[in-house]
Amino acid sequence: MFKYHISNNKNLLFYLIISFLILILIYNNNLAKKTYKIISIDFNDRINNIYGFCGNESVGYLKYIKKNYNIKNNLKIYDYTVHASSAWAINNPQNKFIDNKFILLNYPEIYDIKFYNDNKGLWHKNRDIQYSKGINYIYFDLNKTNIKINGSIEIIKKSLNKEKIIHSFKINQIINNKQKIYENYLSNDLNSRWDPVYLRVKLMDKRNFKYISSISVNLKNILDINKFKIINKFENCYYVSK
Amino acid sequence: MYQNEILLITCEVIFILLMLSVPVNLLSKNKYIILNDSSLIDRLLINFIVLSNILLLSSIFNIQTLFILLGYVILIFYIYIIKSSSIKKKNEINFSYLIIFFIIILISIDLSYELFFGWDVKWHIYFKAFHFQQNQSFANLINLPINDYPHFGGVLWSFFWKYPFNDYEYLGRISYVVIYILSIFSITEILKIDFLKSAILSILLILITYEYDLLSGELDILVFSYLLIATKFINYFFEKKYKKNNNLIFIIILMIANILCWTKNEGLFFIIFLFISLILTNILEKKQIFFLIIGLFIIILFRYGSMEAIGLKHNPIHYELDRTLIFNFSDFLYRTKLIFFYLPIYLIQNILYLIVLPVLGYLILKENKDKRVKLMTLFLIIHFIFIYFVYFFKAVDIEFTIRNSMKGFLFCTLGFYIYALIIYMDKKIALINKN
Repeated sequence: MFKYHISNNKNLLFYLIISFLILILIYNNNLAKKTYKIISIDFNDRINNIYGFCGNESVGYLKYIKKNYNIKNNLKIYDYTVHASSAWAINNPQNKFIDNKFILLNYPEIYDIKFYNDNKGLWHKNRDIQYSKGINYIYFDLNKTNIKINGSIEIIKKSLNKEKIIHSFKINQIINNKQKIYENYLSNDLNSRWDPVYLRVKLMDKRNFKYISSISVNLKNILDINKFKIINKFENCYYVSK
Repeated sequence: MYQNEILLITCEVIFILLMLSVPVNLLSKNKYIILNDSSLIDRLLINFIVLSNILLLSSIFNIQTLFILLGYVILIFYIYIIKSSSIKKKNEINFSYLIIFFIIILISIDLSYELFFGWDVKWHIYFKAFHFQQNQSFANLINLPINDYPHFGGVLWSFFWKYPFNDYEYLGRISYVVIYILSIFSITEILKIDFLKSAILSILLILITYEYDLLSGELDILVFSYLLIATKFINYFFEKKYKKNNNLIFIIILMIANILCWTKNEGLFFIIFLFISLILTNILEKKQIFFLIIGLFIIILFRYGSMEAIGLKHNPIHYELDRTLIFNFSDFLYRTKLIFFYLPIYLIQNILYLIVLPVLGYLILKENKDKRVKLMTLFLIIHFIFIYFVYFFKAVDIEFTIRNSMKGFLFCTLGFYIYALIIYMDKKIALINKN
């Protein structure tokens, strides 16, 4: 026979304290709600809720494509936002890659990067830059119909606390709101996973800064969607073939 | 088909605990006196360490995990069915241990809801788990991303993912929950107080340290837990009755060293620091020091030798020495400033560090004759020098690296520093008992 430990009063107190602490653990981590959700929501739906169907890491879309198109081998995934690759959701490193089909995630149909003034002389971007091969044009978002701009813009990449000017250009003209200033620049240097890319803008008349809400740079896209056959599209997620 | 995941989680936890119930029972308690004194948690942890080593070696020598499972099934059948009558007579079951089971289930529920992977997990650790879940060979690791990174975390994950259900990946990660919870319950047993009292302290430690990020597949939690277990067993060296009869403790510690060596690159350094501190504490005999050094040497040789054998070499890109070593004096100041700026921030962010470091400081000032305090002091010094150099020589943006990794890096060794709190409480309890 097993010997049961019968609680005396002292033990009862300890059990009460332990129960209280376990309740704190349950409350702190919302475990009652989570238990309910685990019971009521299917695993795949929970995955979609966490990683997004299309947007963020788009794991839901990847799984959907793999299942619906019965894909056995690996697909190349081009994600226009910077996070760890979502390849884990569908690919097996032991399999071969399919050459002529691939997936584009968070694909920007209009590849505009907006830079905002930090009021310390630098302008910081609003989204990641991936798979760009240069600049088409830039434009200014003004809170005025037009202004005279006389100055220069430097595009800077910072690595190991060292700045590198990857491109610079001068402007000396009257600019209308959203007027395109064509700047034919070809380079992959703008793409960056870790190193910050920002602008340094110098104006002769510093009072003009207050009229510029943001500076937008329209980028050349390495992967032009118009050159591929779209097999499946959901919002900014594409499954395409060459 | 709809599955009740709560039931699956419960069955998975029972399966893991069943796997951890053998094989230490086969050892003679007369030959290894530590087994006479060891608690149920200690025995479970020794079995965990044995199983970890078996799984690691099977992954390296391409032994099918099914054979390991079968071996365990036969062993469990033999011990609990054939020899069951003798077990019942000798052992009594303390049902208070169900508290541990319940906490493991609760944390596993959190895991199964949150699900998301950490950055490194998506990048390479998940692929390693998937690799072994698919019965792939050690040599094929070469096809994986970051293939020179130790793979044990993936091996452990894959085994419990595959068995018994071969279903959701997170079931494999429940093994991380089990070792995390058991290691915390184990360290508080040093206090030699009732289980219920030590359970209160353990749950408090869990409340302070637990957050889902630890279970996102990152390996910090394994390093934390194995270091905590190593600390627990090292503590036996400070007890008089284990001065001589401690062969099993040495073997356990070396097995932990082997696992840490294959879990994370930092794990190898931490165990070396622990061994150096232990040797400099002057509690070991020359023969024991020799045994420890030779053991560690074989472990390191085996790791690098077996990786070399399949063509896995450390990728020099990780170090980028050409970028790292070219710096001038302003760089030196910049890097140093960043490290000294962020280190206190991340120490403060972890409430437990905020408790254990002042306690350790108090012990260093007031109890510096205690050899356990000497051990901790030596480890503290080596560890903080190591932190400085690790971040100083990072090739990529240091600030970015610190912000992304320092929290996890500090968490790995937190397990060892909890020991300071335990020593402090041990002394206070001894004082109370004396009065």
